[in-house]
Amino acid sequence: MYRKLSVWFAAAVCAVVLGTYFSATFLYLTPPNPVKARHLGTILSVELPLFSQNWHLFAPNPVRSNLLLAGRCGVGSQTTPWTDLTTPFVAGHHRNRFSRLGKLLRPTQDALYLILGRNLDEWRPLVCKRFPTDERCRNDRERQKARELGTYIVQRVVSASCAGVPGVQRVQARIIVHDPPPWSRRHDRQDAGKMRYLTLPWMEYVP
Amino acid sequence: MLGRLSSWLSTDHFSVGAGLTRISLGAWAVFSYTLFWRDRQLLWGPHGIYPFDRFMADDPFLNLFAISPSPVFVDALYLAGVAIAVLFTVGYWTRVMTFLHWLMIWSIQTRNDFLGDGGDNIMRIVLFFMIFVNAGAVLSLDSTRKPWRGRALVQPVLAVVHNFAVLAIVLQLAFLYMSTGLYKAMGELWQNGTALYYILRVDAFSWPGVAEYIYRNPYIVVGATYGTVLFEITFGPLLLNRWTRLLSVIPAGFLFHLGIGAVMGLTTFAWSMLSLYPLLVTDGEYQAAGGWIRRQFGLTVYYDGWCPACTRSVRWLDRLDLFSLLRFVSFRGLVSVDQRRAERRILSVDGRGRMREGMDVMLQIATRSPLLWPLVIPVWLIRLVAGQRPYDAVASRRLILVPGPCADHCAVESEPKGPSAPEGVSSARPGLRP
Repeated sequence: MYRKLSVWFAAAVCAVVLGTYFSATFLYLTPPNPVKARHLGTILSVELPLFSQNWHLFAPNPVRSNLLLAGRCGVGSQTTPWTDLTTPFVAGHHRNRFSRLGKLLRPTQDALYLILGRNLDEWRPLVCKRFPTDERCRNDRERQKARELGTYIVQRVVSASCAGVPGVQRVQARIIVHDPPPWSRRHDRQDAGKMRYLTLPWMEYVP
Repeated sequence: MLGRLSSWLSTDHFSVGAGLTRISLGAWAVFSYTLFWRDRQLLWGPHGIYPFDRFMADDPFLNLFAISPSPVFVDALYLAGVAIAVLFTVGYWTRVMTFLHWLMIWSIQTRNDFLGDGGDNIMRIVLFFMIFVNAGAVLSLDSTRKPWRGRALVQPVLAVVHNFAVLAIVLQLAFLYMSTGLYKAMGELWQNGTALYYILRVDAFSWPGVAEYIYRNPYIVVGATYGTVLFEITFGPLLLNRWTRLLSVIPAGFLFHLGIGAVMGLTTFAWSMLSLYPLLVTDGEYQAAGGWIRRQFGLTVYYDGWCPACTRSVRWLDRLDLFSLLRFVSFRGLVSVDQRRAERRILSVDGRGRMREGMDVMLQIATRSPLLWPLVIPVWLIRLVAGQRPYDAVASRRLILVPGPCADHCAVESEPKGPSAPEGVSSARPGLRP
């Protein structure tokens, strides 16, 4: 009797816990909708921080640009030439699918996304539409914070690449966005796609 | 009805899958720790790419790296993580190790948020659920030990929790696929069938020399783009039927993730996703598959049970038989085996009834034990060059102890008269004895 009762009690507790978690997860993963907006506080309190999850994975639209980081180092009034800090990692990862370079490339790539403003939480527009005066929505502080963080990581990465330059005082980063040719021009070998550059201001060298 | 449900709930299900998932996730972690050993201070150190003061300003939750800002502490934690991952993989104190391993992976992933991909994300959620799973019941060191005292009392409740936790992992996986599938269905490039082209044109997700052949071909691009969305959306519903699960979801999933791993280079993502697939197969299905494999590849070996060296070797070979494909039987006294032939050379009979002897049996045993695979080619070469001679040279000199009622004194020189006859010790002289 005791055994049966304990089994049913455990099953009931598990069912309630799982039911709560997966109901919250279902709404957490849906696109912005009225039910989600109404219960957002509860949903986030269940999911964050332990169960934060993002399954966009190349959706709704996949990444379609190459993001490259170039850096140069400044000593007094002199500067070194621009160095490509992305391609060697990508090439290494192409040579060996199990190398560490594929993952080591990620901090830089993520930092560039933060600077270009593509990585904001998707629930933010939902909250800000409903509660424009919410602290999270005023003055676009989150965007500024993301940009600052991305810039800091880039500063560290470029500084690390300048570590071998004697007397280096400052570093500069350039983001190169390369859009490969569209599907309709895939056979045109002359078409190398479009290049855009964003050069960041000089920053202090941070060892 | 309720009684049957209650007894079903209080029995562990998916134990084999849980064991395989544990081993695969553990091996992934050991591999990752080894891979980033050189970069540990850069990635997670106090003066690394995301320094300690910034990390602490984020108000970290339950993170072991928040304990100390010392680089030595980071090294110690990292080494502890490696040890925990190894113990988790081999299934030693599995439940405790699962908790510690989850805590380490959670800490290391949230210490530096810039490294993770979808594979890391699913892994840290699944590892949390794994704490409640009895992942050490099979294929583990724990399974070779006696259960702790008092386990029988709480076993039914633990089994209920285990079953629900396995369900949680599978549901989480289904939610992942459904979520990404529906988001993809909303995307313009996934709708017009060209998403794969644009992904493969991004160098970080491409494979120069191979990708060109894929992305220039409209049939492959459109087929794979739509196939991806279709696979992801139907993953959950197709799990509900046994045949669609075994014949469609699992093979398609392997193909899908191995393709992503090879062509797009998302190897660790493929590894962590496929680590969860063993949980999609029930224990009964594993047993049925095991039975079929044993029938096809099983081998009965007839050895000399009167030869101490042979018995010792057999004991070792039995331990190395990880797939339980070998059955060792002493030929002594068996009427179904030609005693004279078996006395001369070790014999084996495979699933199709083919009999082999001597060196060929050695080769058969080596091919069935993964730990002996390095010996397969050398043994084959020896067999090719020297035939059965090396085996005969060893076998003919073996010591044979004939069992019998000799408690205090055994006659050393006496010759045995038959399989059940007198006691004694003798040197093997095949062909000379009855």
